[in-house]
Amino acid sequence: MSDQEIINRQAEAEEYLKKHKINDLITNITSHLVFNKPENPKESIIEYLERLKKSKMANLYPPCLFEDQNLQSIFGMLDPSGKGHITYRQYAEALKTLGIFDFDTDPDGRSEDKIKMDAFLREAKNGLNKINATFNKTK
Amino acid sequence: MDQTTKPLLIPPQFALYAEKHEIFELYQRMLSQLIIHKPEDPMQFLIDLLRKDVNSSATIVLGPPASGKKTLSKLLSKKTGAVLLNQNNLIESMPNSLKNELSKEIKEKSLQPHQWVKIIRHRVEEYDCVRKGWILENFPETRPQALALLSSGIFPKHTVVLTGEDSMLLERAAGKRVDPKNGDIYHTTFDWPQEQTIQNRLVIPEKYTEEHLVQSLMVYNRHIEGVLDCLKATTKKINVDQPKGDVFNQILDFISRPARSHALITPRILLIGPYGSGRRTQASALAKKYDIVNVSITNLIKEAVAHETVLGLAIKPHLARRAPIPDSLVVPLLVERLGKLDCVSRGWVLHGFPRNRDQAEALERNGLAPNRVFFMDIPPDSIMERITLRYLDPITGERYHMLFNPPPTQEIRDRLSQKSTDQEPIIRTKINLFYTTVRHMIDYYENIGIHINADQDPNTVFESIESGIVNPVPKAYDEDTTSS
Repeated sequence: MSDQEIINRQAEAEEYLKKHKINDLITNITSHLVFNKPENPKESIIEYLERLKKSKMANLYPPCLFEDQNLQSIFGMLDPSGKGHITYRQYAEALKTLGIFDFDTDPDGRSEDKIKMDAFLREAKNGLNKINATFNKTK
Repeated sequence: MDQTTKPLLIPPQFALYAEKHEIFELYQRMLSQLIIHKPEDPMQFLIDLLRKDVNSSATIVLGPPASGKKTLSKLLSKKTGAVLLNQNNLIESMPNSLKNELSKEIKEKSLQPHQWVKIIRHRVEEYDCVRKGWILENFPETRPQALALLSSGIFPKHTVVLTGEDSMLLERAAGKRVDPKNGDIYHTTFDWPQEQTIQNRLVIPEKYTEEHLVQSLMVYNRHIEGVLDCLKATTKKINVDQPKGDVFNQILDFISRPARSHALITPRILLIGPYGSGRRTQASALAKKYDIVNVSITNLIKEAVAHETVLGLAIKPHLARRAPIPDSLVVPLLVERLGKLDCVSRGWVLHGFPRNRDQAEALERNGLAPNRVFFMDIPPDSIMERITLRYLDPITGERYHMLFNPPPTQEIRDRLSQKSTDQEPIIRTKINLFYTTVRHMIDYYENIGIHINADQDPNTVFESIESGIVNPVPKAYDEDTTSS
């Protein structure tokens, strides 16, 4: 096998991994394992993949470690006095901490620097779903 | 998304979990299969893969004619339970569709490499091969066959290559006999069957004239280098000019060692040996080279006492009376030390503990099970020689040994003093105490314990310990399936 052929093969493999978002998939499986430490990791990965598949078929939310409650409590931490809004900087940092980098930079309330809980929740959920949906949408 | 944008923070405890469940190897298998097969639906593919994944063996056995590869593969398959595949039974077990497609080539014995590989691939994907593993005998014979095998995604985990002098092989072949009933191979001098009935029905195999053999040896020698070049990562050569049992044991030893994994391991090492076997020396050498934490139970106890911690104060009266310290005090001390971040993240080497089976079990109970256990074997006489001749120069603090490192001048010799505990009777009781309890620990660590000959130069001992750390622990096959 010539060098050129090997390079082509490598590129092919990388292309494949990228197209099917395998790296993200593996990352998510790892977080799932780290968080749950299941007794039987194989079964648990299968279960995760089954859920992911179902969400792809039925267009549901993909499995995710964060639930609405968690997101609400993040908001609560940033807004300890219960004013009902956070600043844009807090909003951006919170999303980045969740691993979301591709978020709406102009959410409702940007102009007053007061971002309401529902805007934050919507953005966080959208972002998390994007991260966790490690498959190609069926056209 | 790459690492830099989303750093994965993995807690140190997860490393233990991952090691226990071989997560790294699992990922490796998943990714490599994905890249080889490039399925359109990776999720379903992974689900199917994980369902049947058992990490079974995949072995290739190659060798010149008359090297005994057939007999040895058969034994191996019996011992490990793996399915034996050779060119004959591969063709026989082919499904009809494939048979019809390739009937002409089979008749003319002109199967092309890719056709062979198609047959093999079909077979190894069947349930029993996936489940129990497979042993492929005498294939690939040529380099194109080897390349075809690899590029279709069939990778052996081990390749056993039998070697031997041509003249020895020729001599062997001359005495070869075959049982026409089941194809078993015997030898007139080396391997003669016990039963009279088998003896009587043995025949000289056809096509086994010397001329024919020389011919096939030449063909073999012409191709083997090219084949091995493709499989060199997994190859081990074994000389067959030894008794069959020895050859077999070498092969078994080789294939029961899992291939070296790229997974990072956190070393958790136990050094178990009698007083004077060099545990301390080896532990500090290991700690230095691998940057792991050297944990000595005696130092730990002394430290606790000196710092007057709660445990230290409880230990103090025992120490003052020279009485053994109860496990209920030592174990928490150890658990605390080994649970610290440096030990958890970098690994540790522990010596002086456990001294008996109870203590070993206590380690396990506290989630501190070691992943390598070394028994430092040394005869008591060598220990005596090492210790009773040890002297200290009270003026310079230099240490001398009357045999290995004698003092240079008579003046120094006269002022040397010996440690009060370096007396033969004291050491003798220490050693005896060790040997009464070590048996239970050898039983307890039966599967992972590695015995090291500690009666050697420290560097040599260190090297053998290192090789035990770097290589994976061999997996044990049940003794009751032992044949021969």
